[in-house]
Amino acid sequence: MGAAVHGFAQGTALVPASPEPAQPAAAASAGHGIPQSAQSLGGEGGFVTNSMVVTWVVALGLIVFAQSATRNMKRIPAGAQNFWEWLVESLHDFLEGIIGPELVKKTFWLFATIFIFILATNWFGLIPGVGTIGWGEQGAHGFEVTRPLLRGGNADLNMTSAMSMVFMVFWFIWAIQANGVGGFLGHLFGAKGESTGVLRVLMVIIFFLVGFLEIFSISFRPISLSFRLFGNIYAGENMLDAMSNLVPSLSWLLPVPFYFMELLVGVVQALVFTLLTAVFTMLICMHDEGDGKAHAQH
Amino acid sequence: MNQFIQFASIGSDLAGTAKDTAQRFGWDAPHFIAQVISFLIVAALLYKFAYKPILTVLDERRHQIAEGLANAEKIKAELAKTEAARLEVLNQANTQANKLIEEARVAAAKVREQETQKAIAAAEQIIAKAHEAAAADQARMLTDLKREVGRLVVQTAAAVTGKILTPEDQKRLAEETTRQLAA
Amino acid sequence: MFMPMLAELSGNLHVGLAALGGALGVGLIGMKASEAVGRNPGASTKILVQSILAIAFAEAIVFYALFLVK
Repeated sequence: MGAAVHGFAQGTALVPASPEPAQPAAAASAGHGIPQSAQSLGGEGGFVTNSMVVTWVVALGLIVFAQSATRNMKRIPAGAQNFWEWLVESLHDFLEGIIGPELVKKTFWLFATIFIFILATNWFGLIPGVGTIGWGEQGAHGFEVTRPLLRGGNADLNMTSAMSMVFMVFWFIWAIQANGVGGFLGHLFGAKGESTGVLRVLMVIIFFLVGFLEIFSISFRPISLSFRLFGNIYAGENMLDAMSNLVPSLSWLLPVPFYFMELLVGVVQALVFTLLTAVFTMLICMHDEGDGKAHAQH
Repeated sequence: MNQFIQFASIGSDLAGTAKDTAQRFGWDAPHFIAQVISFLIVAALLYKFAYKPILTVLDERRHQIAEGLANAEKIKAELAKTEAARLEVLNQANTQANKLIEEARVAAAKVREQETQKAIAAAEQIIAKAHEAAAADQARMLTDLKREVGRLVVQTAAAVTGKILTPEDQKRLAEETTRQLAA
Repeated sequence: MFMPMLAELSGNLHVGLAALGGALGVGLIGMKASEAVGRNPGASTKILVQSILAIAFAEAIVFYALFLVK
């Protein structure tokens, strides 16, 4: 099993006549484009998967880049420092506009990391060679890579769910910090709005039941967060793969528009993940404060 | 009670399908934990290398800009003050100069007046002296003339009368003539 | 003809229906959000937050359905 550089134009065929339709999920299912899960390098049972490699490469690159940019900060920024300052400042201002200046101080590191890391990983996954360089075998339609060396970091459910779970943990911590345990529970189950008498009792009951729905919805947040990102990136890679195999003679042209779309999807998904996490945090943390402000203004 | 059990079973069913679905997409605990750790490391290092220094610098820069603006404001105020002081000094100097000029003018006028008065007085004196001198000359000439006329009268009278007058007559005659001339 | 076909239908039809509904919801939200931004560009950040939240809720339905796959 030797490493082989495999040209992008010669990827796996979309619908090869697969002799065995029922393959194990973890193994490469040749009839389905890209396998659904990241594969471990060095055969079955290896711990390091190709998505992890991409994750580490991107992480290392980001850290080294940031470190070299800010090693000796100058008063008048130039080059990499300028870029990082622009990135961090615009992210900071953007988040400040959404979740407020108080909360952004505490939570900026998480949201900024989420955005920068997701964006970098998504775009890294678009570099030709990711998914097409690796180990494979000689198939009916030429050489087929069945075990690529690199796979988009967010095309691995482990990565996306890791990020969403980290967020949920900090979301919980920040919610408790902002509201206290009682305030947190009141936030979930408490009746909202102004009403009196029988209606009030009714509202309390209804909002208590709504609280369970809320908990259900909240517990689904990490799942939807991780599946949204995973699904978008995985589907994008699958589509690029399909496009480059659909018409063999046009395989150099067909994926090009989709590459641009995937560039866009990479930004949009990074933004959506960041925004959603930020807004969820704001919803649980800012409620009382916002009410207080509203009352103070009246 | 029954319903509760049903709900619980739905819950466990959901959890089971969630796990199944997740596993179908290659989710497993060790890799998940590994990625959590990776992500946390990235977050920590980016915080250390990117966010903290950059936000500090941005904050500092913001402060500096604010300070600079405040300083500019201060400098402007100072400048305005200086300008006002300059104008004040200029005004003072102007009024002083004007006063001086006025004073000088007054003094000069006084001096001129004095000089003129002096000159007028001198001229009057000279004229008066001249008058006096002229009057004295006239008087002297008159007396001389009278005396001459007297003498001529006496002489003529002596010649006409042929009689030599005594000095007393002469004197009387001269005096008489003089008296008549003077009258 | 039609009924036997329907009877033959099995599998995860609900996921497809949920995806259809979710897609319609996301599209409607996006449409209205763009309209709102067009009317009041100054409120674009607030509109963005609201629409992102609503889109998340609409999308979540698909994930609920996905987890009910038999």
